[in-house]
Amino acid sequence: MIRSQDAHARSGKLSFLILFVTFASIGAATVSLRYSLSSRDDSLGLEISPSALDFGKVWEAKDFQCTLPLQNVTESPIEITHFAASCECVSVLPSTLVIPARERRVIVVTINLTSKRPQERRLAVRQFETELRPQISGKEALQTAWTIHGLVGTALEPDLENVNFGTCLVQGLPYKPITVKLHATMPLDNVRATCAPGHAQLDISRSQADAQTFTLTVTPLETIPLGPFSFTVRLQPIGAVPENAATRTITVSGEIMDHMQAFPGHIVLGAHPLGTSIEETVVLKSLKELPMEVVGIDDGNLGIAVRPLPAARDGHQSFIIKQNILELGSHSGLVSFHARFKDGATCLVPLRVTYFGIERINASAQ
Amino acid sequence: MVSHSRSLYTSSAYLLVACTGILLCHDRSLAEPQNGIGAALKAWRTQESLVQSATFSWTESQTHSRGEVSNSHGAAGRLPPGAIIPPADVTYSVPKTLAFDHDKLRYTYEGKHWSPHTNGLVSDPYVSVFDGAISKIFQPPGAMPHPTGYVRPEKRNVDSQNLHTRPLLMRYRPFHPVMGISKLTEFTLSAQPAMRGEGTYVALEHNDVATGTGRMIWADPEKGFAIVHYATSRRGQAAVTTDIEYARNPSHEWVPSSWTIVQIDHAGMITQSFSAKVSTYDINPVIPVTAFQVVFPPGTRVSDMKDNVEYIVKDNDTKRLIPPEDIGATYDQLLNSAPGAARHTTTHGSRTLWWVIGSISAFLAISASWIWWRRHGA
Repeated sequence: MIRSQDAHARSGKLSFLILFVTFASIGAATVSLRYSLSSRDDSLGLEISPSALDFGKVWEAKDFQCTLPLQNVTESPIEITHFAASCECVSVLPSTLVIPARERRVIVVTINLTSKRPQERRLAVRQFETELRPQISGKEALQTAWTIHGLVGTALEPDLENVNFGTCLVQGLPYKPITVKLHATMPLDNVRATCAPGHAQLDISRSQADAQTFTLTVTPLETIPLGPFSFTVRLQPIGAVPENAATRTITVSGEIMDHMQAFPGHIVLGAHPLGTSIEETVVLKSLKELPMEVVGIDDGNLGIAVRPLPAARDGHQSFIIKQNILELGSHSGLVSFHARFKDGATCLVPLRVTYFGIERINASAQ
Repeated sequence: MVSHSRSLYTSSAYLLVACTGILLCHDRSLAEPQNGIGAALKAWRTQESLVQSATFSWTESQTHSRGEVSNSHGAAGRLPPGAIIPPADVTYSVPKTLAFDHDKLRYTYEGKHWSPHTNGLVSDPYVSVFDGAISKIFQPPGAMPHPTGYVRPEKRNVDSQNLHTRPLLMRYRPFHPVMGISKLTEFTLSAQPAMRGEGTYVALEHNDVATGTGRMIWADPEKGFAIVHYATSRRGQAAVTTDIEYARNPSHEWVPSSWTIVQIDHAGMITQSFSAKVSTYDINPVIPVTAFQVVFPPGTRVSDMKDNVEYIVKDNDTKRLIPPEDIGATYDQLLNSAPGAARHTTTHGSRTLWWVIGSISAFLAISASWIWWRRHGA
């Protein structure tokens, strides 16, 4: 009986032990599964040849392209929903793709190789490296990144890559040029500057003091029509570099203004309570100093009243613009002045007026 | 209330400048091209040299358009998706002060801040100081439930180029390398006429070809070339306009009395408008250096960007350092733990969870023991 009880107790302890081991195993399995899910190899089942990630030595360009063949080494399709790059200078096409099981697809990576740190600006050759991280559908956010790298050669470094004339260019008046300094990182014979016909006269001069420094002078042509403009100047280093290699580009933009303008061209009145009115002065003037008279005013029926001031000197004509604050929020109205010159020619001068209507009593918000 | 404290020397100098200004302005041709710019620069230099210190208090009526915060650049990552902040146009008053003495600067306001949590305006007080050596920001409890402080790495007050301090600093520090108008000597006389009512101004302009930013100044020769209009534009589109009015004080100085600052978006619509009215001022007062310093009170969470250290100020002038392993812990966790242990500190929420788990485990253990005892114990 005792033996039987001992056996029974042993059997109970054994059952308890088995239960304990079972639960412990389940727990351990759960923990190890969670661990394996969170730390498993993030190679994602995609293979890429290391040589494809090395683009070698190239001249810098804003739109350098390299192709990356991606091999799906799994038995399931892989969907890439997005590519994240460590530099804004990178874009990828296609931006999303599905690679079927055991198949290969090619992506095209476009890199702006002119993007560089300030300390790299005068280097003839520099190391370039950027990370590309594919986001796979259903995977964790942080995944393995591929490092695209190579050596980038620079022959010419402009001080500015974008120049803007603002509103300085007035049609019919001489256009003041803009100059940009160009620094050669290697001995060059010269620099050739070109742009689309009809946009600008481009001149290159070499510094007397420093043979490595050139100056580009951009003078817009009168053939550019009124309004905003933008064009690209292509800079080709000559000597020591292959033809059509190491070219740099500068974007030139601005606006060609009419000589007949309202000053200011945009009246900004700020916030005022409903029911009040605000006055501001505007001057109409020909920057070519052509005598003119205003023969008509269209106030757009937006609560704006216009009254002329006594004739000013130099052929200016001044007006008081009275804006009645009629509505809440930001509102813009357009006043059009019809001007006539001595030779009978006419023109329309626009004036924008903007105000912000607020409640008359705003104590509740205070 | 307006108060003045000035030495006889300063008053005499002002009188000299005023007389010179009257003589210069008598000949209106000085407002004409070529002469206008030189006279304006000279008047500004004189004005700057005469005013070593000043204090100003004003009230600013601030109007923010619907969505102005959420539409601003960089807001996307900080706000919940689809949030419109503020959800409606809001206008409220903000008392502000500015004090400066040579390079030292103090700027304060009792501002407001739209809280997405309360869906309303909450108090947002602010103080920034620079005592000539150290730059600090202090934010008493308001938008944040606890006081916050920053020791900045810059050798200047962070608000030296603030939109709201500009009307005063343009008047008294136009050439200052930090507080002044950038590249002021590179401005050229504009061909654009500048008029307001019967007044004719000298118009100066500066265009930055690299950024496409244009700046325009109107200076009033009748008021010692005080700047009455300052406008910036981006690629030809108006961006910010500042219009300043002046009042002549008993010493015949033209002192800024009110101003309006308007911000415009790329579509030409107004996003913010600030109308300020000066309540008190004092020119050339003696300001103690302590006015340009801030001592963070106990409880302030400080980011010292100068020495790269974070801490909470404790009583008795001690600091509770915040090492990198504590980053992510709440303010309360930091306050109630030793450095490095904040994230291990049990919070009320996690204590409850452990109680639940413990109770269930105990119940299961007792149940299992009871079953085992029933089967085998007897």
